Amino acid sequence: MKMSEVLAKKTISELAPLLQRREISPVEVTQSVLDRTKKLNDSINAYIDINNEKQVLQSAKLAEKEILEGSYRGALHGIPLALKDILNFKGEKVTMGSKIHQNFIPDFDATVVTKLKQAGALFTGKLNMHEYAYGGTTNNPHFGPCRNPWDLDRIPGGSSGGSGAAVASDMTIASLGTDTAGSIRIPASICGIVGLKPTHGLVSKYGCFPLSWSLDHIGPMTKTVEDAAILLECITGYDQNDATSVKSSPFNYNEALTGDIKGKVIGIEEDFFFNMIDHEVDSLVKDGIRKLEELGARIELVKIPSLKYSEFAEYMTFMAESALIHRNNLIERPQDFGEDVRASLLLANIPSANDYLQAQQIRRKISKEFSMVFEQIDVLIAPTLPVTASVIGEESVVINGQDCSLTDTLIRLTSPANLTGIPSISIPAGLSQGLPVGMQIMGPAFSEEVILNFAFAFEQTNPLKGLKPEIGQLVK
Amino acid sequence: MRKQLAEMSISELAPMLRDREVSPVEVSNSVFTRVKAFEKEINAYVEINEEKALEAAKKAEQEIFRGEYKGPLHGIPMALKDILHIKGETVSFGSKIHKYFIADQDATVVSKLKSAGVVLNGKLNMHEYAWGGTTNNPHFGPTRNPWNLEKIPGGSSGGSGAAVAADLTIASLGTDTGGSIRMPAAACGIVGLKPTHGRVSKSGCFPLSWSLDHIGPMTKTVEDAAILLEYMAGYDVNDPTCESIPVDSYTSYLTGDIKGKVIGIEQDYFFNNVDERIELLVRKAIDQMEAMGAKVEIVKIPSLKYAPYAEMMTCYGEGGTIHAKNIRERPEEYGEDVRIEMKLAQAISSTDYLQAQQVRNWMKSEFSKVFEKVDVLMAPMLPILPPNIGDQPAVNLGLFSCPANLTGLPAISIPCGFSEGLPVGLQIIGPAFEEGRVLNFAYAFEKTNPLKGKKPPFQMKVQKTI
Amino acid sequence: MKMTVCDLLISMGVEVNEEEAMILQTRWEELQQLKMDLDQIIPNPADIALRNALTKQ
Repeated sequence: MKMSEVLAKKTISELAPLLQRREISPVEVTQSVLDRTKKLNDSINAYIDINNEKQVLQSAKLAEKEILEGSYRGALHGIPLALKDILNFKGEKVTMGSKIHQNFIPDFDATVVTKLKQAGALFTGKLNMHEYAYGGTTNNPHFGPCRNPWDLDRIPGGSSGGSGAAVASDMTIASLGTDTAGSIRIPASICGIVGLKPTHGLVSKYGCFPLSWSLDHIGPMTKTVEDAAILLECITGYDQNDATSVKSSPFNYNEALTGDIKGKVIGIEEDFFFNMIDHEVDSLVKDGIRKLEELGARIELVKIPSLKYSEFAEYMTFMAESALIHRNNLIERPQDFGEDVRASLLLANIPSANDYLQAQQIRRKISKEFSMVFEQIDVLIAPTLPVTASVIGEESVVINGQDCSLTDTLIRLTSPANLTGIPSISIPAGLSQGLPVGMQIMGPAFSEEVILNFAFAFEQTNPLKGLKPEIGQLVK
Repeated sequence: MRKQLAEMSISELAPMLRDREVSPVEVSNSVFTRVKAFEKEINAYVEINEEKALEAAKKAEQEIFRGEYKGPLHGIPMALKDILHIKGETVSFGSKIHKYFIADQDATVVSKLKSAGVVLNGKLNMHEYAWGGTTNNPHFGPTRNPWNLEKIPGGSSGGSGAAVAADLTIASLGTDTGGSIRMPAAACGIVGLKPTHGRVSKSGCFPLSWSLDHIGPMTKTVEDAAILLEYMAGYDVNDPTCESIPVDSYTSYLTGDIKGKVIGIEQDYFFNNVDERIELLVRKAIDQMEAMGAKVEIVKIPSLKYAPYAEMMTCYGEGGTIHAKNIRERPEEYGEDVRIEMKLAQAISSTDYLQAQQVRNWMKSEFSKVFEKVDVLMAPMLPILPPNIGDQPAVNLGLFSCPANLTGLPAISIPCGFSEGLPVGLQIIGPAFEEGRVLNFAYAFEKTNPLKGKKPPFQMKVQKTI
Repeated sequence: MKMTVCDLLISMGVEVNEEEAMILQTRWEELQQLKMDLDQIIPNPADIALRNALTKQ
């Protein structure tokens, strides 16, 4: 491992004090990340677009200057990030992983981008994603498939696959993804990193291309829980430009990371969240929960009967909403969509208004049941996915001997948090056959500090045993 | 010649009841006398509850006598549109399917009225399931316009409009999804207020279309509407569309002073496609308000072009979902016109529905911008004079009503004159939760006595007055 | 493959008799007329009134 790659492997919370104390420069960190990216991207294809090195280093130099002059802005100052290519950057190409938008240049920054820029973050490029976020494999026909750093023949998950792969392989310090049916948490689980879907409305979506308005969320994808807390604090806040934005007061999520969960109650719902789960995944997640029990939390079994209908509600909702968003292009230039996305969009036009509205009724029911359950418990813990990474190109997956549709499998356990808008964080629970397994921690609306703290407590038990994907030996 | 008790308004009766000059029993009796004399010709009621009402009136009388006066609604007889649940009583929603449905709880607004001491004297006819604007009900018979019995009273709260206009009850509550309070108010020459969406709880009211439905007062005067709104408004945890905004003292807004206020007029939609006779009266009314010191400003609201489409798609989508089961299992039990609508509603795609929501969002933001420059918007209420019962209306009656449903903004219809012997309504629309402002403009105009004290031709031959 | 509104309804389990079929088709066409140029008009794909309503703490 080259010296210059040491910095790329660090976290925001490791780098920040070094940058603040001027022990290292943003230029060194950025150079380290760019070097690693150049070395690995051909094999992993996490980046759709790597920014011009000279320009990036120039902005790093500016950040260095500011810090030297004493204007240190905070933990993100001088930290190089790369975001999922779905967030507007003024004057820069933002493709949404698509051919139709391959030359699209927005004339304004997304609100979260504005906030990150104000915090002094730097940007090394745009990350690969499933076309229009419409899928969970990031097998992108226009920009090439993104590969899982733990096994290059496998998917990194999606739709924020590029973010998952880049963070896992240290090609970026941290990232932001979007999550409509699990698209932050699925790649987080598959790539062995931290992925947080906040409460709906907490983070403004202004300037983020929509997949399904009432299900979409933006959130951090990071190496550690602490990094997720730092990023979350920066990107939250009411924005009048986003009709779904809610008012909230600024919160220092970092301060909540005490690791103390004594006396807290962990809810387990078995009929839905532990149904049809690969045996090893099931074991690892249950081991994880046991570890949390050892830390002083107690377990309570709960029931959420309406979850039975959650897949119907998820499909009807995002089919209807996405169909409208893409309607004109589907009529005028259907051939410019990737095959799988085009097929999905055609299907998406079928649900009737009844179907859609029934789905909304079910959502209300599920939300109510979750609310009631959260009166008895602090968090609900479950596997993020029933499986680990499948092979690129496969449409189905085998769970305990049974063939299952890949898409259904990927979104099954993550969708409820989208339907209800409650926050959910995925953290690594261990490795199964060398592939990461994710555990998700859900809480009531606006309880990010609670779930982050649980995640932090669990992270301290070192579930991945410090293992990282072994791609250092890769030669182009 | 003194008015009969039944011909009075809430605000005229209240002091007399409070001061024990008159008993609630006398007021109810006066109402029932008129009902017995004229209801057959008008058919406003589906159920007359004389015995129950007199019992309640007696109770109110005793309470007031004991000094437990509850307020201006105490002892006032009201009949409500047959769409609101009343505990232990049949509520049919104008339908055959629900003809024998018995509610097990009072609707929230009903409960509030009962607590305020209202005497419920019967249930009023409506268009089946509120799905239409003629109140030509195949199961309960058509309600007739008291001003001309050949004409429709509007709908879907046609029974309420007719009953209040003909003094067959003191006041009523209706529901408004695409104009169903305001259209009958216009057609029958009374006051009809659709409050802001979420101002009044809809718990216990059979839905037509959740995001478009509103409950509101239908009264003889603006002051009566303000009084009723004060009692009806308020947060209710049982209605997820209810907003928790504090309830105003709406009556305190009624100063009649509109000097310096700005009246907005949008002409491309609201004054396009309107009968000239109606347009004339509405413009005359606006001129009168200018003479009172208000200013007029022309505004543009381009999204209005798509209002009828958005209204239909939303109504069909939501209403279709509510009736999805019954229209498949027992279609023949629906009246013919409603059956067609319900079937059509099943064909609406989710993208159609969602596109309509986009239009609504666009319209809301356009109206918001307009209300930065004007205080209220004024427009005609109906595009044509009430047609004959049984005729297919030549134009969409709800053309000018639906924007206030799509945006959820408060809107009132008040009489502004006659044409061909039929009343004409003026519509006033205001910003969200500014019912007080809207009511005050209506109050100011009402003082000019636009109907010149005329009443529909139903005079008691034998008078019982005080 | 063009479907009439009646075919669509039948496929959804809604009975349609001959008399109704004509009226429904006419009504459906009238509805489409009301739409006008709406498909071209709505500019911002992010513009929607839907929300996943959650009560704030």
